[in-house]
Amino acid sequence: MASIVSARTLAFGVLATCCPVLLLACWLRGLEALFVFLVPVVPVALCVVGAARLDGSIGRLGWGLAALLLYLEACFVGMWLGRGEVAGGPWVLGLPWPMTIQFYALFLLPVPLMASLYAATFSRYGFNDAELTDLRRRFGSAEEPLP
Amino acid sequence: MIAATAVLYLGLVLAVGLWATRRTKTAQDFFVAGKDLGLIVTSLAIMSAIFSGFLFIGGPGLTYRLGVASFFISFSVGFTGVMMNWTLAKRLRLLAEVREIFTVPDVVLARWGSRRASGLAAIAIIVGTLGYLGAQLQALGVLVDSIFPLDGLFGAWSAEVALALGTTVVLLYAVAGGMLAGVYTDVVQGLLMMAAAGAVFWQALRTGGGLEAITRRLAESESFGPEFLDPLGGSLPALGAVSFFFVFAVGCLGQPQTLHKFFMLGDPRKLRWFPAVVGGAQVLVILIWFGIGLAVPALVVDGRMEALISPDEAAPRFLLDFVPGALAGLVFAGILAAIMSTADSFLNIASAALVRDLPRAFGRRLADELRWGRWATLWIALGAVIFARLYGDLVALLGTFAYGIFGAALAPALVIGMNSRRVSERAAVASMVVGLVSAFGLEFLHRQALLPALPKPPLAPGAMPAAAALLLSFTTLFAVAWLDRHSTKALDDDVEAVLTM
Repeated sequence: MASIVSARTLAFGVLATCCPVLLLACWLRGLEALFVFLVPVVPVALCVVGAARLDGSIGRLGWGLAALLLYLEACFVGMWLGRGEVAGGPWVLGLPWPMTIQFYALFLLPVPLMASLYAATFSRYGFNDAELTDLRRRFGSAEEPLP
Repeated sequence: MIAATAVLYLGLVLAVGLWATRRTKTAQDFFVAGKDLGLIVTSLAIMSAIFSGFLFIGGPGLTYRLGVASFFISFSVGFTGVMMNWTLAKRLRLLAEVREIFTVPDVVLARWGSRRASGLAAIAIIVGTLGYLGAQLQALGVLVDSIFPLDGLFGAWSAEVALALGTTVVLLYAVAGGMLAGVYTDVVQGLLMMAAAGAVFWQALRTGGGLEAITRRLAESESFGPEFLDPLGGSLPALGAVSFFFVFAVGCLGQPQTLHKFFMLGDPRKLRWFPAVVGGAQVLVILIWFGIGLAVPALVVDGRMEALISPDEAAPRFLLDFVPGALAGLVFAGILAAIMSTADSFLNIASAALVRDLPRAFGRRLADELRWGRWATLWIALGAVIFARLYGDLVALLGTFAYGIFGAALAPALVIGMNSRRVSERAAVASMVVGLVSAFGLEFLHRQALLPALPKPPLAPGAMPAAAALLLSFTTLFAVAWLDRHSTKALDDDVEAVLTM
C-alpha cells in the first residue's frame, strides 16, 4: 500500500516539531512532563531517518522502531509514576521499582535487543554486499573486491 | 603495589606505542590508523575514547551528590550504538570509501563542498578540544601525583612534575605513532578498563552486602533517604535528569573523537556487529560507576566511611580503603588508561584540525601532513599543559562542557545533513554557529563564578544549558533548511550515492 508521506519525511516532520517544543520546555516553567515524555521521540525519529531506504520507507523495521518508542515511553512513564514511591513500593531484582526500570529496562535490556535487531536487519537497512560492490565499482575505491 | 602496577601499565603502553610507531609511515597511518582496523580494535578504541577519567572519578562523585538521577548520563547506551550506526556510521564509513576522508571537517567539506562550513567544524573541534584535552591532562597530573611519591622528591613542584611526566608518556607514543599508536594503546587501555570495572563492580556489591541490602539501607537512611534512589523524583528535578539523558543520547552524534574512528574500520561490513561489541563493552565499564556510586553512600550510612567533603573523593576513597592492593592498582591503571586514551584521541583530532582542516578551509594544503601532524601534536600538548597550569579553573570549566559544545555544534548538521539532501550549506553553517555560540555562552553563564555580575541563563529549574543549545541548533537547522528549500544545490554523484544507500 503506497503511503502519502514516507517514514523519513514523517520523522523529519516530527523532529522539526519536537525540537522547538522541547526548547520551549527548557525555558518555561511547568512544562517538565512534556519534556520528559517528548525526549524519547527524538532518538527514535533519528533512527527512522537513518534507517530509511532511498524511497524514505522503513518497511517492517517500522514496527520495531514503533515498539522501541513505546518501550522508552513506558520506561519514562513508569519512572514518572514512581516518583516519591521508593519508600513504600516493592523491591524488584534488588532495586526499588522505579530504579529497576532505570537500570534493567532502560540500560541493560536494550543493548542485546537493539544490537540483535540491528545485526539481523543490516543487509536491508544498513547496506549489502551488492550495494557496496556497486559503490566501489562506480566511484573507484582502492579497496579489494568483495569475495 | 599501586605504584608498581602503574609503572607496569605505563611500560606496556609505551611498548605498544613503540611497536605501532614503526608502522606509521604516511599521513593516512597517522590520522586514521591506515584505515585498516578490525572490528574489535575499532570498537575498543571508540569505547576508550568515549570514557574519560570522568566515568571512574566524576561519575561516582556525581551520584554521591545527586543520587541515581546521575546515571541517566550513561544509561542511554542501550540504543545509542544502533542509532549512531543507522544515522552516521554507515554514511561516514561509506563516504571514506569513495573520498579521502580523515576527519569530521573532511566529511563536512565533501557533503556541502563548503570550505566555510568545514572550517567552522574545525574551529568547533579546536575549541572543544582545548577544554577536553586540558582537563584530561590536568586529571592525569593529579593522578600521577597521587600514585607516585613525588612530594618527597620534588616538594612544591610535585604537581608540575606529575603533569609533565603524564603528558610525556602520552606524547611519546602520540607524536611518533599518531592514531595508529593511539588505537593500539586504546585496545590495551580498553581491556584494562573493562577488567578493572568488572572487578570493582563485584567488589563494591560484596562490600555493601549485595544490591538489595545497599539500596534498602540507603532508602532508610536520614542522610540519603528514598529520594536518593528515585530516578525522576530526587534532588535533581526530572527536567535535569532527562536533560542528562537527552544530551548524552543525542549529543554523542557530534563527538569527533568517536566519529573519527569510523573512518579507520577496514571492512565497512563489520559495522553490522559494532553496536553489540561497543554496547557490551560500554555496559561493563559503566558498572564501575553504578557499583561505587551506590556502595560509597551505603558505607557512609553504615559509618564504615566518613561523610565525603568533596564528592569526587568517592571513588579514590573506596579504592584505597575497601579494595585489595593488587585490584586497586589495576583500577588506578584503568583510570590512567581512561584519561590517556581520551587525551591521545583529542591530540590526534586537534592536530588534524590544525594541519589539515584549517589550511583546507583557506584553500591551501600542507605538503607533508605527516611531519606537520607530529609537530602539531607536540605543540598542542604543550599548549594544553601551559594553559592548564596558567588557567586551571577555566580549563576545568571548559572540560566539563566540551561534550555539550561538540554535540550542539556538530550533531544536528551531521546527523540531518548526512541523511537528507535538502539541508543547505547555509542551514549547516547556521546550525554550527548557533550551536557553538549557545553551548559556550549558556554553559559559561551557568557555571562561571569569575564575574558575579553576569546573569544566569534564563532556563527552567534543572534544565541543562547543553540541552537547550542542542535543541536550539536543531531548531535553527530545520528553520533555515525550510527557508532554503527551493535553493539547495545538487550533490556530487559519489556523495549522492552514499546519502541514498
